[in-house]
Amino acid sequence: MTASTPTTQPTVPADSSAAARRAEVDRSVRGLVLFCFASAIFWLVVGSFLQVISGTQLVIPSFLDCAAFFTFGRVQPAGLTALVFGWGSLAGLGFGIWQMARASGKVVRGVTLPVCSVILWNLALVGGVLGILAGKGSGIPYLELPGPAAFAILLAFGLLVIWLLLTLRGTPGQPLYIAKAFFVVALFLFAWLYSSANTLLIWTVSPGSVTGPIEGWFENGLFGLWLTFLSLSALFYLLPVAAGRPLHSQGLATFAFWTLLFFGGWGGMRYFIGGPIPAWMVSASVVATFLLILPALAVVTNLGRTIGDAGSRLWEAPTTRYLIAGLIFYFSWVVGCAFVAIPTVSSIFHFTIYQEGLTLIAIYGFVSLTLIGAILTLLPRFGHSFNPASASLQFWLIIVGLGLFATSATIGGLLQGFALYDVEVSFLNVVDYVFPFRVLVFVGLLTVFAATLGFAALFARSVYVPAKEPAVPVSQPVPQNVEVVA
Amino acid sequence: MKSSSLFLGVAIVFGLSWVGLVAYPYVELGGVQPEVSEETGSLVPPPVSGVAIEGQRVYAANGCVYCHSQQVRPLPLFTDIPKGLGPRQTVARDYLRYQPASLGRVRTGPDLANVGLRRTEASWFYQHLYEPSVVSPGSNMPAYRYLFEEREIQGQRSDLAVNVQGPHQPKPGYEIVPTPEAQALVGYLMSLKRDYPLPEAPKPPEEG
Amino acid sequence: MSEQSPMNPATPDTGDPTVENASVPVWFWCLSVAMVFVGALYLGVNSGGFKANVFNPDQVSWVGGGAPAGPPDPKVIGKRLFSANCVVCHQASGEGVPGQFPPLVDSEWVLSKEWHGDNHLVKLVLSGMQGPVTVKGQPFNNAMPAWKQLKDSEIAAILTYIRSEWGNNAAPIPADFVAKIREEIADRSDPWTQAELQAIDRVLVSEAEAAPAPEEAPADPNAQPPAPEADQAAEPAPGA
Repeated sequence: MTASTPTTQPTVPADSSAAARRAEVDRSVRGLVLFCFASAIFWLVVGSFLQVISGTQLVIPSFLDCAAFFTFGRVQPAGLTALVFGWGSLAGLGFGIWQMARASGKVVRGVTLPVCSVILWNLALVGGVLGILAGKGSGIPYLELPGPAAFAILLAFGLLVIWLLLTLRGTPGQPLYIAKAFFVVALFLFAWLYSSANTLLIWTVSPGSVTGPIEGWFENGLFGLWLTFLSLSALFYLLPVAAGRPLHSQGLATFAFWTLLFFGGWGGMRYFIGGPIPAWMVSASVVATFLLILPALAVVTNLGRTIGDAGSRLWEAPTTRYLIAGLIFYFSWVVGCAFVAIPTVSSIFHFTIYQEGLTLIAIYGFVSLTLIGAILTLLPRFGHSFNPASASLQFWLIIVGLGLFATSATIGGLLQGFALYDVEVSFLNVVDYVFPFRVLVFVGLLTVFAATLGFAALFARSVYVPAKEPAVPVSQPVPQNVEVVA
Repeated sequence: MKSSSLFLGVAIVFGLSWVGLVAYPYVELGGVQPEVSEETGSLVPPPVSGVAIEGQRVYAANGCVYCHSQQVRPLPLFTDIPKGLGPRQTVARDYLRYQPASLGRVRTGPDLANVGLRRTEASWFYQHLYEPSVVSPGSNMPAYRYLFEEREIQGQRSDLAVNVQGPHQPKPGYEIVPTPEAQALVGYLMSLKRDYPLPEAPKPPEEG
Repeated sequence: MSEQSPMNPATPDTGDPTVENASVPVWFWCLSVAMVFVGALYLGVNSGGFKANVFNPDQVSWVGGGAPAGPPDPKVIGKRLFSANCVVCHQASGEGVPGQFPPLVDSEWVLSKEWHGDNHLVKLVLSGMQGPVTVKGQPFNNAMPAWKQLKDSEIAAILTYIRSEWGNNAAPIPADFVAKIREEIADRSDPWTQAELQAIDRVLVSEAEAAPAPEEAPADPNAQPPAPEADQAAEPAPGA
């Protein structure tokens, strides 16, 4: 754990010239980062809206059943695709770009290439989501995007990463802070995950006997590595800064990084316990999913000790409250996954509403709360100040939604699971038992959707409507040679 | 901090899972072949018709996998077999002929790994797809009327015409017939029979 | 950047994050080691021997012993092969056709009773038979073709099937027994006659297994010449 370990970053002197330099760096990436965030929030709203539609259809099956375009089986994956590839990915990329700019200390000149990449990403996703709704989806969860759209997204991603590495490379020999390590490695992992899975399942044809392992490996990596690394990167960056303290332990952070990387990759067969996958692969995934509690515990311990008694202050602030809640939901999600990976538990809970609730908790609880918190933290630096009451309202709306998801997942999952397990119970009775919990999920999706609308409005207002005084006054004039993207 | 050594470490640590969960099954499971069963003397898994392959695409494109699983899990831990989802556990070779296989994550709807064994009449499938709540009262499956067309009866009523009951009956003189997509989908569903013997999937001992 | 938005007390620009190097707590190391140990143990026990064709960890012991799956039941295979090859003459009921094709049900030939041995049964299937024979006291005079083209395991499966079906109850014939007989009579192309078979010493599977090959090999070449037994054997056929 020496050479290849993320190590400390020297304290940047907080004198005024350094602060001015940081403000200059922030300005140089402002347009690009805001564009990423705006795109991400667009997809958050679109994805949540589609989730509301499909959630309604689970309660009222005849809702919008007039047209192929709105059938449940297309709206559901379209919504999930928008949330994962639009919202989570672009928001995380936006934050990462800012973070890398900060770490490199370089003022960015020219952002045409990355802006074009994000435009391409958005266009690909628009085409892809419409393609899914039009019946061009692959039927493989999270690999639904039609081949050309997936290729365009990878192309956009590749261009963005190349630009990022060429422009914002840290100075050689500069220590790598753990948050940046998470982000940079996330980029590498996404390229590997998405190109590998698409090559084997979408762009070429593989025998059906290998679909399961590859899709499991991909889905697990998409959530457990890509989105997790992006979100943890934000947490590791923002929480120590907000607390005004150094990160408690480099050792724990390094431990979390490597164990997450190792066990996170192996967890994929947990979706197929008892399924048509060789027993040893399933058992390996069960163990890996369970051992993911270790890095989660390391992250929570590390950040918890970093925050220390600043916790109540951070909880009071509307922005950092999101981050702390995101951290809590990260841990809950990991424990929830480990719980259902125990084969005995799986024999009851697998295939039930529990799994759907777990996905919603990962997306809205962990990823969304964290990244909304990150965006809100950066907003005053990029835009204008916003109304903290509004941010607070959206927070509690999302928490209400998550509470409903968690309730329906655990109680509904238990009822549905035992009914599915019981030889005496017919399938249509199972549908009856779980119905009230689908109503709860629907209400939860509705409140979350309302929160996303409020958040989008807050974001737009903060960016476009000037407050009486600029939120981020820049003390020095912008140098002539710096291209400022509005 | 050497970024090259960091990435080498990452590639090795993460690459292990790629080798184990992607490359290994690609070779080991992708390489399995249909074989002549010693027990029945016929090819297992049995060949699948072109219509069923086409139907698999309809199944995938309409997201059936977001409600229906296609896996039978083994005794003694799971009760899929006593619940009548299939005579034996499903194994990798059962999915060899479908691209992709739709294993599924949830059972919002019933498991379909062996639906072709439980239901053998195409007309039932057509009726169910056209108006699930009429055929299975209490079902929360959406209707797939867009897979059917209403047309004027030309001479004789079509053999495939759906016997529609309920609110979506055709106009007098018209009939509801499945589109080629619906016919393919039903062909696929009826082909889902995992009852042939495979050496790696022993049947559990029969119990009264 | 000392100034901050009054609305966002938690987002001052306090610079970039820094890090301390507090060591990993001891309890954390202990917990990790314990969990990894338990995990490794679980994986070992439920590995199914790390085989690609084991889908239920209960099928195979954790060290990898035991077959991934039991071999298919020879009776099932035997029934299929019997239906494909034998029913034309011997009928699905195993009763044969009176006066034309001998029955298999309760037949001393099939069940290795009296002078009949398991070796005779395998030999006549491998090379076929012709001429007068007596089965259950009834005379038959017809020809049975040779079934050399079938594999050892297939012949074993058919014989095991007919020895356990229709109320028949005799020991199964293993494939290696068929293989051994096939080797013994490798040179023979003609069908057997009852007299020839009767001249050969009776061998049962159970005996063949108990007494290994050395005794068996020299016994058979000697079995060909003896004449007196052949006379005896010839008698019942015309007499019956």
